[in-house]
Amino acid sequence: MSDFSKFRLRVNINSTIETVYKAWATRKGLESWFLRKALFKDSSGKTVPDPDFITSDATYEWYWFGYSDEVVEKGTVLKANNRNEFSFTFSLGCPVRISIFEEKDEVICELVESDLPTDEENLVRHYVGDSRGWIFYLTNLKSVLEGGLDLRNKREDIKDVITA
Amino acid sequence: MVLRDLPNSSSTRNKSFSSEVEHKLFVQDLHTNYNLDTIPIGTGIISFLRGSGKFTINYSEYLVDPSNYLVVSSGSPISISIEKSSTPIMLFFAKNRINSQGNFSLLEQNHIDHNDGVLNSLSSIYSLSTSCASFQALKADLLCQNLLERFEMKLDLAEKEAGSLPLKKRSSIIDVYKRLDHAREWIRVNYSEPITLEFLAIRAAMNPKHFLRMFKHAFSITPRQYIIQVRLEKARDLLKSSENVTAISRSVGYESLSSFSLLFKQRFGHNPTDFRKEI
Repeated sequence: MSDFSKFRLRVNINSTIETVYKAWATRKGLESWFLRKALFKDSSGKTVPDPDFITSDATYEWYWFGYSDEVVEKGTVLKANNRNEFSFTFSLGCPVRISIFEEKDEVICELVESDLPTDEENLVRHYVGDSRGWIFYLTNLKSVLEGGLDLRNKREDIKDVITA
Repeated sequence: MVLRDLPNSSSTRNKSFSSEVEHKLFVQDLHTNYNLDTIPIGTGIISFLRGSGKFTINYSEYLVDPSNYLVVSSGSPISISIEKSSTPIMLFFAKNRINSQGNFSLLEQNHIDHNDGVLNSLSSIYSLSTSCASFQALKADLLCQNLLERFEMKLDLAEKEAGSLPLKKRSSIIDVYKRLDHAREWIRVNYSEPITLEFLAIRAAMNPKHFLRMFKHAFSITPRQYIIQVRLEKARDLLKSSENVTAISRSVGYESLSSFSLLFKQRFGHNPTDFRKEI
């Protein structure tokens, strides 16, 4: 029987573990492939300056291209080990774990989103909606790190596309 | 955010408009008339993408169409009558995400101020609900949450303003506050028209003296001062465009350029022409 309480996505990236970790765990890194604006505050409430790595217990506000500041996701960084693991709450508190490791001369970035509610309504929203969103952004992470091409739609007047 | 059709109108005790944990959005092209007898519903916002409908809450009737929206408060008994060929859009907030216990009584009426962004947000939530965009359900939910937080801020302010009214009974406070707020909103929408105290008092269903007194108690400003404030703030925004000052003066309701300039200088410290140079 399928388990809809979590999903796992993997993408191979021709890069280094350090570079991929930096893409997840710094403000500038996240803004290069995922977000229009990422704001982090450490556990004492101080804004994390560039180019510092985000630390565990930091809180975040994330904003996307194509959407006004009314669309803001707020959450917490659960783990940041400064090497190869980064996890955070997302989409109403579901934990997302990022693991970065080598496999056959390439770097694998693995994303696991878990604790998803599995009732019929939420299954569509979380399992389908979130996994579909991550598939695009992980593809964009690969694209940006390997070739420098950012696939995100940055226009507010174009909405109904998978790149927004 | 999952898009839903309206609950079946044949059920007279249908409670599926409200929700504990998820914001709920109902949108449906109606091909037949839709009627629901008095039912309790959740806290939310009702408007229309096309057509119109009549909503009765506690014996007050509200006609809602695409130019306005109705705020409804949890537990209020509501009757719904929607004509065919209409497309209502109804957003109900998740009960467990509302800080104010869902009691939006002070805001429960038809709102006509289309510059407050609520109708735009509703439209964006609907677009996202039918979109293939990444994380579309999450983004629609975040917009709903943002809208809820804006209403909770409005409610906080409304509670403070209503608390200034020299009335004791909660039901009287709610009733008078809603009428005053409606008049204030009417000013924001129709600021360029000639507006008299008598006309506003009629809109608020009060006698002019009582209206003036209550308005000042609630908002710490007289209706006339409020009209001037709205006009001058609008003029200040328009001065950022290239429109000429005389046209701006007329468009915000002043026939006399000198009166306009004098009032503008009193409020912002510069006459309109100098203010524009400063921008």
